[in-house]
Amino acid sequence: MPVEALRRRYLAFKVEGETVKRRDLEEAIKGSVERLYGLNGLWKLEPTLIEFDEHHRIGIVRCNHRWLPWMRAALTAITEVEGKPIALHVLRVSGTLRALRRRLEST
Amino acid sequence: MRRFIDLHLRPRSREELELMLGKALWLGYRGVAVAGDQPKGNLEAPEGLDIVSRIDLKPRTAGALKASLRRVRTLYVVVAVECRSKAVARQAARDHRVDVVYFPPGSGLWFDDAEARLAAQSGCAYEINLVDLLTLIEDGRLRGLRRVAEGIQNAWRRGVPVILSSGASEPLEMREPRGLASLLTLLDIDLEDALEMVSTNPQGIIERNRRKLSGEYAAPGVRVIGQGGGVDAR
Repeated sequence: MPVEALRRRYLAFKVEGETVKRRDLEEAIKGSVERLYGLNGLWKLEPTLIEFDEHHRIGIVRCNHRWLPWMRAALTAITEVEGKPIALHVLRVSGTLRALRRRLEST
Repeated sequence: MRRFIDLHLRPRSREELELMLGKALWLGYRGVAVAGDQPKGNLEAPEGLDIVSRIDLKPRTAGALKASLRRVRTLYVVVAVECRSKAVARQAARDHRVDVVYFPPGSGLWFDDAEARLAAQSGCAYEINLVDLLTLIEDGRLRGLRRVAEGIQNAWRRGVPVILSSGASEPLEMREPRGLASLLTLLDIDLEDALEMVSTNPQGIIERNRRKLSGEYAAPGVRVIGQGGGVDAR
């Protein structure tokens, strides 16, 4: 039986607003996906925070490629983390982590 | 390439306005409509960002709306009406001088079919503000979300353009245009259709109104193309 290869999308984003910790941010992202799309959305997207640079406030999140708009929506809907007002803006989207990092460095 | 427009910024101060303009350009917008009476004199607009004037009318009665429209129509490129009563909503939708109507979450009103029918005849657009949408999501107001979705379907059925704006009153409330459009996938709106709401649809309103205010406009479907050399009536 043919099996569709699992394709990923990597989204680089910038956090605006107050300082946040990686663990809080990760929970906020997963919480936002669950609030918007439920458990169904959570397993479809499989949102994973790959890295988060607390100094530059830039992070990379991974999701299933078919559900990229849902991932963007979930990031857009985040307005606070642990009561601190923040906003997340997607900077770049790529199919591989290496290409994403290269593009981030060039901008 | 799409030209993204945020048709609704409402800064509370001149400082915030300048910050928001810079941020709009950084987020990828090429045009913004700024509501409010912040002094625009000596404003250093970032290069590459088209800024248009907008007014948000919040009348209590249909009569007050008509009086306000007489006063402001020629002064602003975009005239929007915040609908807090059914009488105001109906009057706004049927009046040719109104460009955009929007419904704040607590009003109990939405863009129903009768509203859409009137708006289709007058050329008025239906606007959804991100800040209102986020309020509905955060409070878990499912009925409110369903009404927004129904409003979009009513608008499409009648051929009324739908606009998606941030409605931001501070920089932190602004979002990148593709993120804004993606949020509508929550309401089962196709991403391409949602992207039109932040690009082509608002651009159409701005272009139409600039033409109207340029002096060439005479009436719906009639444009002045030249003057002088009148026709001999004998």
